[in-house]
Amino acid sequence: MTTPDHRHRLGLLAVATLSLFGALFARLWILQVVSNEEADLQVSSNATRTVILPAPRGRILDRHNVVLVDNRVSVVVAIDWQKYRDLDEDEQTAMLERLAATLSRRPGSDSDDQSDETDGSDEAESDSAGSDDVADSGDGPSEGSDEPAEPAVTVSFLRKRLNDSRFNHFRPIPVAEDIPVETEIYLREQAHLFPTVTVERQTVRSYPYGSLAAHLLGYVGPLSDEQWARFKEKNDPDKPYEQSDEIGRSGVEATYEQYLRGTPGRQVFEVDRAGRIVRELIDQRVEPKPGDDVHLSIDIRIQFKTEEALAAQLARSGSKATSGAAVVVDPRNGQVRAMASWPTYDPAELVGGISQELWAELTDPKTKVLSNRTIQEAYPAASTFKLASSYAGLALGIIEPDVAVADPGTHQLCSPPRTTDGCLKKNSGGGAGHGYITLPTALTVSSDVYYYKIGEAAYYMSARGEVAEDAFQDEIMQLGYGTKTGIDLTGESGGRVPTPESNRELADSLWERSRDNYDNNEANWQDARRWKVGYSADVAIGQFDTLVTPLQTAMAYSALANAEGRLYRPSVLSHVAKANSATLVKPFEAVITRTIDWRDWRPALLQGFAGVTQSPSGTAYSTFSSFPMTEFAVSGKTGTAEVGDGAGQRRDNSLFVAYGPNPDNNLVVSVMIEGGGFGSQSAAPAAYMILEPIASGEIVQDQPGGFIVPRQGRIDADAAAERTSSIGQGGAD
Amino acid sequence: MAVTRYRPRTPPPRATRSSTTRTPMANFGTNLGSPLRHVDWVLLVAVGLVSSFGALMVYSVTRGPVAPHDTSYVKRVIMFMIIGGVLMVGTALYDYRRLRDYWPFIYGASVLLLAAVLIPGVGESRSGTQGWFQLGPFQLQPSEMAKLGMIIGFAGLASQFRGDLDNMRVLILLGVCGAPMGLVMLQPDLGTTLVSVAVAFSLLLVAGVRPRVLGVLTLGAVVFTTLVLTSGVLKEYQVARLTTYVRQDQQATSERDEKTRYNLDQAKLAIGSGGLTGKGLFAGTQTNNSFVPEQRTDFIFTAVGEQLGFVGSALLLCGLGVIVWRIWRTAQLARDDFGMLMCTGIMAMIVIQSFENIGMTIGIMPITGIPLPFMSYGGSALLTMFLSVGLVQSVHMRRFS
Repeated sequence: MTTPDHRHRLGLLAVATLSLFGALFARLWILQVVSNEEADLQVSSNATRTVILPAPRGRILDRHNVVLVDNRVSVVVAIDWQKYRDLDEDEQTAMLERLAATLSRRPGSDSDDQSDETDGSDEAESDSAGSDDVADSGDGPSEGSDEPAEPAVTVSFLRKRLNDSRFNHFRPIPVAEDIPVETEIYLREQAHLFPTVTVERQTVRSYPYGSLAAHLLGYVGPLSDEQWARFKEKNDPDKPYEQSDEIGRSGVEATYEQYLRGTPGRQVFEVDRAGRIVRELIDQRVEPKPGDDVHLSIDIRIQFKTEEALAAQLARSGSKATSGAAVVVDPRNGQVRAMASWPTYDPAELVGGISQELWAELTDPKTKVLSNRTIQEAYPAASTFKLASSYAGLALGIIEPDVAVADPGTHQLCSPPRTTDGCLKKNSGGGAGHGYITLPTALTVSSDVYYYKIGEAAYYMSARGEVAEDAFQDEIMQLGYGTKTGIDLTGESGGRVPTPESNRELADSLWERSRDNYDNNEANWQDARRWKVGYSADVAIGQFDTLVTPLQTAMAYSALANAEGRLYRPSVLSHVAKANSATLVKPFEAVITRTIDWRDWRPALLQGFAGVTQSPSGTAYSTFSSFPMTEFAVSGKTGTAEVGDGAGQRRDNSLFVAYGPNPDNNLVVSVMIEGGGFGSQSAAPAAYMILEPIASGEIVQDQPGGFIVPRQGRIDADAAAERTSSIGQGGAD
Repeated sequence: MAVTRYRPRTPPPRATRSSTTRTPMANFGTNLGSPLRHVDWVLLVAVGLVSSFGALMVYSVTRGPVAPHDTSYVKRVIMFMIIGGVLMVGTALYDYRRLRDYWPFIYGASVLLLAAVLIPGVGESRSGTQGWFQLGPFQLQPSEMAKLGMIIGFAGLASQFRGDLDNMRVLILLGVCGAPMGLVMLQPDLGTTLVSVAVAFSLLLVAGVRPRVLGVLTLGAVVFTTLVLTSGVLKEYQVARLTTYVRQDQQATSERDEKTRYNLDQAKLAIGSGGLTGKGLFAGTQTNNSFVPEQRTDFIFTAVGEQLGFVGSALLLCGLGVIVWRIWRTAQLARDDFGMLMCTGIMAMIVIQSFENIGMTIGIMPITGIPLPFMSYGGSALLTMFLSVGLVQSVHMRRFS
């Protein structure tokens, strides 16, 4: 009964149907074939989550392949957030309570005597209840022997940690580290009591030699917020950082971060819409690669001797000596052999978080425990500066090596115009005069007058306009003073060599800040702006705010100690190699900052410094009287920085710089002991203690073996002081 | 008359033989000749293939990522396929012409069910739509059946008018369609309403309503739709779903909109990432890991697109196309207006649902909750489809009698 009309209309329907299906075909073609790649890309990021597998850091070794910083396994308790959130609230609470109680329990002690139930202590993780216990448990092997007792863990701490955005919620979130073996076993055995809790082994930094070279080695810590912000902007392309990653914060750990940091691996998981892991995409897995090993130029034996020497001299000086620094470099290439700063700390305490108390203690501005005093602090150079002022005097033609100058023990300094400034009578540090002396003698006896006269002459040369106003300082700075040495360590100070210009700037800024600094009197300010003859004289003997780092001194003397006059850029690096192999990644390259032209002055200078330790008139002669000079001839220079208050409360800084063995010097030692008194009183004995084992052959520099560094690098300062009490303590500057 | 022109094309012997009896069951036993010999095997095979494919796809998105795989969903699908198959055979054997007398009951029953489901306590509500009866472990969605009820009602009434459609009769037919539509809209089930509108339009067209009247009706529908969209009768999320596809490249305007957009984006991504040949069965990350919403029901097509790519999607479209073609052909061959109109309605229903369902997953149609015929998980929809095909078979088998 269908009519043609019906068929006609059914035909319309067919056309409509065909066009609808055609539209679907076309759209599908565009979506699936034409613009397929775009969708593909989006889908893969949509459906997968990448988990970064951290790589172990490279080790740090000394020049004889002794491992200074290693990795050790730490047992880490973590909570799998993925599973944790599937628990209902009661289960979560119950589990956290059990976990907190278990983690707070101390191994081997039945009584819960510690007040670990105190709630709300946010630093519960690192409430270093353990710091006292470290000392008495610490004579086992290096690994795990000194783990701090686990601090109290509270439920609120656990909850806080679980919500901490620093942690990737696709990876188990660590809640406790370095747990005792008993706890580890308990957690594993009673796993059913602790759903979602994982017990993992992780690698953390370990220090086989304890606090030895702590400042030099530095430490690792979590990324700071600023660092993370920077990495979020632009991350390392090969070794991208995660927010929860650690990074070298200071020392070698910081400077050689790019080598030490391993290449993180990754695991790619397919996840569902709710973010639950479905399975791992095994073919996309990348195994982590450990970081490169950094081999330092440090010799751990010399490092130990250096730290022991510092500790011994500080112990001998009593409570007035508070801190010190010593650095040993090879003058032939600028490599650092040892670098010690006191007070020091145990870097192991910084592993895996640190309590606020300990941090406050380490960063106390009074003690500056974390500060590497060999490079980060500048001190008055005192008489060790006389090398530089000799060079400046010679270069400006003020003195000549063999032209004698009168040293009556005191010198009258007058600034023009004499009427307003008057004259200043300056006494020599030693007191008595030395008669007519040439340059070598001036160095050997440390004549101040000789150098006052250099400073005075330089002042007048400038005043007369024969040379620029800072020509004297300019020559001094040729030896590297006043600028950073460029060592491959962080936070270096450049020191300070006062110039007329810097003097004006200082006066201006003081005037700017408050006119009271000059009693609101413009004349006082203008007077302070003027560079005076006494200033030049003081600079010549390394006083008047002439600040240098112990390393700068070592490098300046290195430029004399090596025959070529090379001022090297110091470095702590020997080379970088692939992990556990000899494959070289980065070799050491000596960098010469400047070559000093000693002309024909070098013999006189060498003679003068040799006299300090070897001539009976030398300021450190008595100190070195028992030193085996025939095997290892040492030259040096004492320095006494007049920072003492005269009342005996605060003593002068003791400085000494030495090089040897003459004439083919391969070591330069620079020591500074704050409050150590005269240069020959504590700094020179320290240098003696550092050099003596090398001179006696106990340590053969280019060969390993010989002296064995005690386990954990433990130093018995009093015993060392006792042992070396025979070293003469000179009373001379 | 057309009848005389049509007759010569039919083989005379068969026609006379089948006209001897009117009872299919009797035929079944004694005379294997007539209607059974005219089964549309192509349609039967196409329906079997597409629905089996649907079962496979439902399995692919419900099995879960790891063994042991979840088979509960696919088992239910297979169960419904068996029940549907039985219903289809039964319907095919039943002489559809009897429905010409019974259509008021079928139509009335479906309207009653639609009314009953709106009564709180009797009908169940799911995500804001009052559209289900809970029958033991099963849910019955009366709006699915009602579409068929409407088609039968329309066909029954229109065939009585014998093609003479004055304005009054058109109004009556509109009323026949309007009653179930209105009730469905009250649930509110927008998708089904829209499908019903399209089906009704097709029926009116084929039934012989004059083009001018159709034009007026279209205009009225447009005005009505605009009013509905702007008057606030619809809930915010419904408007959002309906209009999201128009604003695919603009900013989301609300959280609802955001969610709808997310669904659409995920669906498009899933299909787009399938490429030419797809990621392989069970290897779709989007559809197998529940990124795509409602993936076993309304968004089942995304599973096809992602896992089997353009090739699989095209094959599915061809399968649906074959079904549609066979039904269209049956409409052409039907020996009476009643059968022809039923087939037309069923065909329109399948075409519109397929177009709307697939169209929404690829962003050319608004998102509405409409199942993909023979593919989507859902008993009521599947059974309705099998019943519809059974009716078409019945028409096909009796095109000579």
